[in-house]
Amino acid sequence: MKQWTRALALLFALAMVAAACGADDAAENAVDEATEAVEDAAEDVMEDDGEEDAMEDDGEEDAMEEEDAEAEETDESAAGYAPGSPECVAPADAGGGWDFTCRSIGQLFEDLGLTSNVVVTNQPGGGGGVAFADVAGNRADNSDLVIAASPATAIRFAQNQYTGLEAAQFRWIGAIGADFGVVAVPADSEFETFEQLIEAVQADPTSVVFGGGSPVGGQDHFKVLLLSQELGIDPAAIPWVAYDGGGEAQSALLGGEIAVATLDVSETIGNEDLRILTVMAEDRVPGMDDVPTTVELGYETIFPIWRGLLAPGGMSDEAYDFWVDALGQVEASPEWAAAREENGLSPLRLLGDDFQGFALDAVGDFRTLSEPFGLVAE
Amino acid sequence: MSDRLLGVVCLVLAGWYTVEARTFDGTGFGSGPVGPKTLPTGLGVLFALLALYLIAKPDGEPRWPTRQALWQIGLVIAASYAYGQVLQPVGFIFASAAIIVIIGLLFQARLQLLLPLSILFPVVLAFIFNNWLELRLPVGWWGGF
Amino acid sequence: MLSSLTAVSIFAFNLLDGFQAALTPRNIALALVGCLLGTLIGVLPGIGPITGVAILFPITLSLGLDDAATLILLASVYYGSQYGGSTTSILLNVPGEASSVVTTLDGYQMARQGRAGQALAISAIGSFIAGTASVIGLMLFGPPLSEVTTRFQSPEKFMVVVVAFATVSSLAGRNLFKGLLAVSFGVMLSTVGTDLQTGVVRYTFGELKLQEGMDFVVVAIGLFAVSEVLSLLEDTVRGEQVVFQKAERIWVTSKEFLFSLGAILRGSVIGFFVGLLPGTGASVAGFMSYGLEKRLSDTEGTFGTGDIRGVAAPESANNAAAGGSLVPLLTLGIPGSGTTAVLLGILISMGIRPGSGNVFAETPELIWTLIASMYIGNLMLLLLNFPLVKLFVKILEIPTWFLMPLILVISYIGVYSVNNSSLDITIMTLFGVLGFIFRRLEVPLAPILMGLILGDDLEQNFRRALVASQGDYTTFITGWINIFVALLAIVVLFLPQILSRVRKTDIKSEFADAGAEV
Repeated sequence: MKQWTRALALLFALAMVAAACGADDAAENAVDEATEAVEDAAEDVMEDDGEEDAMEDDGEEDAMEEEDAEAEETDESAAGYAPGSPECVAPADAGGGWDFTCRSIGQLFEDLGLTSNVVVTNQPGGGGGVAFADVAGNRADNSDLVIAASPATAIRFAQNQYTGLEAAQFRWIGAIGADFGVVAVPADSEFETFEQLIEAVQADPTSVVFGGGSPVGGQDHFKVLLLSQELGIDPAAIPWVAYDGGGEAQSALLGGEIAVATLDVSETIGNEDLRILTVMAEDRVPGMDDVPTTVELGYETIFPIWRGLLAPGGMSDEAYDFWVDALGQVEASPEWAAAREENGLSPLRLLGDDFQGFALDAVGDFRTLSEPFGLVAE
Repeated sequence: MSDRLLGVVCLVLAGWYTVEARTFDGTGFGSGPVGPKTLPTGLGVLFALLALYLIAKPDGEPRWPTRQALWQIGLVIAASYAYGQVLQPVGFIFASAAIIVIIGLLFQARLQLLLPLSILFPVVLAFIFNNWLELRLPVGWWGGF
Repeated sequence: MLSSLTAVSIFAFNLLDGFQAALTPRNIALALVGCLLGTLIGVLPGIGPITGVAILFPITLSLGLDDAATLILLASVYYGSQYGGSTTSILLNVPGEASSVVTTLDGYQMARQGRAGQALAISAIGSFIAGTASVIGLMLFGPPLSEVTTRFQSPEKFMVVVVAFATVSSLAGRNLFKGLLAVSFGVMLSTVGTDLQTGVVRYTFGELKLQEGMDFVVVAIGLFAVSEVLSLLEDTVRGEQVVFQKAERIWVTSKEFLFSLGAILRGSVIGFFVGLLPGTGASVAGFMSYGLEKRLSDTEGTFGTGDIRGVAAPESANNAAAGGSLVPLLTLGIPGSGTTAVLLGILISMGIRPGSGNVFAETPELIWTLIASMYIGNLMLLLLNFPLVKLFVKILEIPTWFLMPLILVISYIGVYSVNNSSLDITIMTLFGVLGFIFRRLEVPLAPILMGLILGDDLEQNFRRALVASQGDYTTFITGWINIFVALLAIVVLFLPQILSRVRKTDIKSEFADAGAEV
């Protein structure tokens, strides 16, 4: 009988030590928060004059959309919104792209003194749908919360995969940094140029097997869809093998199971076993300087995979402005430049209303493309 | 008898599973040589055959719980379901304390020992989770960390 | 011959350099912290190595550690959390991740017989030996083995999964048909969610949450842990006192060690080679090694009743598979699992791009530091095992009236904190009830999880192979690898019969009360 009491005591002793350490952290955090608040205030004072003018137009537009009462309320405390418990929702498991967005940007929010400790919540399911449904349903007016997003998000909105949710129900904060789609073949492939590949596909669309890390109608397959649309080839005729992520697709490409894989720059950069035929971008991408882009080759199709944040629809205007501004500061920081480069992302700065417009247009385009193939639900 | 009952339930499940499988059609891209309905259909048939075998050749009768045990097991299940439902609004600490007391009492705990533990343990766990592991458990009525 | 000897000695020197870079007092302290932290994380079901490493990586960045230190810390966290996962499988019948499902079969039985200490110890020893073996394998055959990875495409992977399924009867218990029923049910569960090839949504009842499939952790904890609590409750009501026998020893004897050495070595080899296959590796390794070990050496019918070899084999295989999965990662730049994907991100951030030529030749320092770090993490865990086992075994001395609610609450957290979903708790409860009924009816539970874990690999690889070959079914029997694997499947299926012929002794039935004692 005594033994287990001792065991329990031990367990709690351990836990208490843990708790004590945690308390120290908390105390530190509190101090940090205080300093940060002061710094923020100072920054805001300095920036206020310059930004006032630029903000005016936006403010008017937003005021029309939002309820007047709320707009008034936000004006009064316009000196600066500071999220009390900032949270970034990664609508997927730890370790993926959205998780990376939350963790790296969240860490920089904190390191640059823009917010207190950003908690990253992983909420996987339904390709992000679970998280969006939860946010729209239960936390639509939470101003401390942002969600990681990418073109995959826009594609799913376009295909009505987030049942009952529309892209316009959310506020799109901004995108900083973009990956680009690539068309890859093995280094010893018969296709030495993108033209050769196109010729072969145009001659017989069924003769070349394509593959990538997403199902039919998903992000990697959309690269094939967009290109074949521009080339006037029936995309349904091109065989598509779906793998569980880009890693497995690469393995299949090297083993010769598929002839061509549509992947991302970040997945393939510097891999000498692969030959990149084209980067689906306008300008050449750092690290792939010798690879021609689709635009250079005379096509219009590009496929930027932007890394961005969006927010619940009920977020107040001043909170929205705060997050837009904070994201802009992260984008401009040398720390982000380093993190971006490490992960093979190209610079991109698309903030606030610009991003909102861009994203909603993208959703519309994706929908137009998906509809003929029955990819849009209901 | 119990095995036969299991067989019948499995047979119904197999039937539903197979019928449902017939509705899975590919998109405008077709579905390749073997589509999304092939494996489920075959599997449904296999499952039905295994269920039929079970109905034909059941094992001996297992020892089922007594009525009293059934009540208690039902209580645990109900409590467990309720836990999931109230976790968000009530918060991790009080929901856990409640379930520790319920389950503990079923396992014949003495209340004077159980009560303090039931609150202390979730508090410590919640503290570790929310402050250390950066995994946020719902705080609810506790009010914050 | 001479050149390969030279190569080995060069590798050995490089590894020594790696150790030199890694072995500073601060790094050893970091390894200690990492192992402890990892164990704490791993003990919580659902929060396995991947999550642990993914969460901690940005934190190590902001700590400003150098590359070697970062690698050591994360490798230690990785091994620690894997060990933590095995701990709950053995002590509480709560498998926290796919790779530790099979460990529960004999591990938990050992714990109930008061031999939890031996189970935990052999798990750490087996992991250490497997870790050593896979480092050697990596050194000797790393670059040439990358060939194996690319040779195994969808048809070959499909055949490997078939071999794994061929071992199902070793998990089946008394009635083979119920085992088959269970494994089919598991495969049925695996079809829930979005179909990877076509994007068609199957069996989700319109629930968004289910589009990504049945969560393994939720099903496993429900079937194993919740149903165990229900069963023990029934025993209590019946007046049978639920007592875990008190542990008399907490470490293995040399006799027990030698008894399991064969299982450890075989598990290491199987794990390493299966680990080479991206995607399929880690989850198959445990099932395969357990199945083969049972078929090979279970002459007394003690597997499943607390046989130490039933813990040694899968635990070694898991660890060796982790080592094996480094081969495609380092040579081809292909991450075969969630953990290696995170590791790839870490390496890239350190300026190494695996896959670009031969990283072993071009950037040897960091690669060998990585391998040395993983080895140090492994060793640290073995050393930590001495004090930790004592502590863990004490958990079983917590009286049932508090241990049972404790198991439940920990299960709830594990299930909830991974997906932040209340629905998961409901599904877990449902599977708890199901598990309880299945236990009564002697429908074995492990094959359900096997079907759930491998069902997707089975279907997707089959269909991938057919799309890639444009509908040509001969793709499955083309090439010597497929024929070899097919033969292997047949051998596995009939191994007990073959062995009993060889030994000319009858295999005793499961009723053999030969006791689990060595």
